[in-house]
Amino acid sequence: MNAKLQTQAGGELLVIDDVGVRFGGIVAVDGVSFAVRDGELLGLLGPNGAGKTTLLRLISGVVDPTAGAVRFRGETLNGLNAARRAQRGIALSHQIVRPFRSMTLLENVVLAAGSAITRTPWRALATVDRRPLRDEAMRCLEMVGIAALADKLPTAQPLGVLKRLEVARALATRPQLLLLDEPLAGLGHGEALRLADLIRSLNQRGVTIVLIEHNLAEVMRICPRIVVLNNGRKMADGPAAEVMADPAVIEAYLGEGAALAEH
Amino acid sequence: MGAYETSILTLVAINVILALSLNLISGLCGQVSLGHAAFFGVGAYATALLAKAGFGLWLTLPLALLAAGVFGLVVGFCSLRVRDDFLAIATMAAGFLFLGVVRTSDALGGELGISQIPETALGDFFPYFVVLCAVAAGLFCAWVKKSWLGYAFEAVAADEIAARSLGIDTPRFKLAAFALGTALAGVAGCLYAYYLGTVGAEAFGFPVSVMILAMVVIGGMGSIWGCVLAATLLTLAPEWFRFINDYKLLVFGLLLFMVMRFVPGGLFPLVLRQAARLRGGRAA
Repeated sequence: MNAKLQTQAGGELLVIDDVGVRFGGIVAVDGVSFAVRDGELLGLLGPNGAGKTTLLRLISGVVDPTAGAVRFRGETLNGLNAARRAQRGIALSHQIVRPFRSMTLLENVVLAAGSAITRTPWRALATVDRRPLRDEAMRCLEMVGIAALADKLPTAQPLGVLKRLEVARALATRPQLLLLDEPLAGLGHGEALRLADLIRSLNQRGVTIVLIEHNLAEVMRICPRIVVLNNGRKMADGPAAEVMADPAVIEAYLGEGAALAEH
Repeated sequence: MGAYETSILTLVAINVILALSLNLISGLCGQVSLGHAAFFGVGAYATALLAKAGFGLWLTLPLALLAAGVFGLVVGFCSLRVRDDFLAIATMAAGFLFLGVVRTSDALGGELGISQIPETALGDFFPYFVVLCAVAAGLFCAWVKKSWLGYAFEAVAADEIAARSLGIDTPRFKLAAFALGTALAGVAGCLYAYYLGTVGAEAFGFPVSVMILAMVVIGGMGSIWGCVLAATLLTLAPEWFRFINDYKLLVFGLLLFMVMRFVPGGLFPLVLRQAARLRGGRAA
C-alpha cells in the first residue's frame, strides 16, 4: 500500500524513516516509517499515548529521535534544532495555545511573518520598520477569520480565537509543511467545522499539512489519507475510508469513536 | 555645579548605564541575572590594569567593553541550558567566582584592589563625558527595543518554545542579549574605575548585583525611562538619607519586594498610567 501511494504523485516532501524514540525505559515511538507527499493533507490518528504528538515533535525538532531519521526535501533533519527546522519551512501549531501575551494578535503574526529578519540577531538589530509586514500578517489573520480582532491582546480572547491565531502565526512563516496538533480540540461544533474547512482550503492552496485530531468526523471529512498509530507503532496507513473500515482499527483502538463517525 | 554635585551626577550616570545594561538582559530578553556586578567589575579591573600600564581612555573603554562582553558571552554560553531561578543561581555563581578570583589574585591586588588609577586626559570634562555615555547607552537601548531584536527578545522572554517554532533561534538571541548587556556593564565599569581612582572587590559583590536588579525591577522591567528613574532614585537615596547607606541591601531588598508585590509592572509604567488618568480626568 505504501509503495502504491508513493508512486501516485511526485515529490516526497517529508520522509519518516524507521524512527524511534525512548524516554528513559519508555518507548514512545517505535520503528515508524511513512512519507508525506508534496501537497498532501494527512490525518494522524491514534488513542491517547499512541505517540502522535511525540511524532510531530520529532518532525518539528522539539525531540530528537534515538533511532532512524527524519528527512525533509531529501535533507536529514536529525540534530537540527526547532528554530532551524522552522527556517526550512516546517511550521507547528501547538496543541496548547502559546500566544505572546504582551503582543496584540497582529504583532504576534507580524513577528512570525518576519522570520527571515529574526534569523540572526544582527539582522534583527539592523531592522526597525515593522510596517512592510503588516499587510501580509493581516492577510493571514483574514484567512483564519480573526482580522477584526487584530489590535486586541490575546489575554481576553476565547480559545477559538487563540486556536486560529496559532494557525495564522504558523501560516505567516510561509511554511511548506504545516503541522497541526489538535487544532479543533476545545472548539464548539460550528467553530470546529469552520476551522476544518479552512484547513482543507489551505491545503488546496498548496500547503502540505499533517493533522493530529481526535475529532474523527472532521478528519474523515477533510483528510484523504490517514495514518494510525498505536503504542508508538504504525498500525494502518492508507485512504481514509479503507483505514476506517479496517476491523482491527475500529475494534482495538478507535472503539466507539469510529462507530460514531459511521453515523 | 560644585564638586559634590558633579560627583553625584557622575555616579548617577554610571548607575543608569548599569541599570540599562541589565535591562537588556533581564528586562527585554527576560533572563534574570544575579551576578551582573561581576561584568561591571571585569570592565573596572580591565580599565585599572590598562590605565596603570599607561593606556588612555580611548583604548581602555573599548577594551573594557570587549573584556566584559566576552566574559558575558562565556557565562551566557554556560547558562544556556538553565532558565528562570536556575539561571539566577548560575549567574550568581559566576558573580562569586569573579569575586573569588579577584580576592586571591596578586595581579589584581587581592583584598586591597588596585589604587592610584591615573585620571583621564578629559580633566574637568570627565563627568560630562560619563553623562554623554549614559545618553548614548539610553539611545542604543531605545534602538534595540524598537528594532526587531527587541521584538524577538520580547518573544523569547514570553515563551521560548513558541519563539523557536517561529524560527527564532532562542540560544543565539539569549547570547546576543548577554553579550550586549554585559559589554555595556563593562563600559560602566571602565567609567567607575576612573571616577573612583581605585577598584576593590567589595564594589562588585552580591549586594551590588542585587542593587542593579532592584533598579531594573523598580523602574519597570524593559522600560528605559524606568531604568533612568530608578537608577537615579536608588543612587540619590543613600546620599540624602545617610542612614540608608548602612542598611542598603535591606532597604533595596525591601523595595524590591514591595514593588514586586504591589506594582509588578514597576514604577515608571505606574507613573505613565497615573499621568494618563489625570489627562483623561481633565478631558472628561
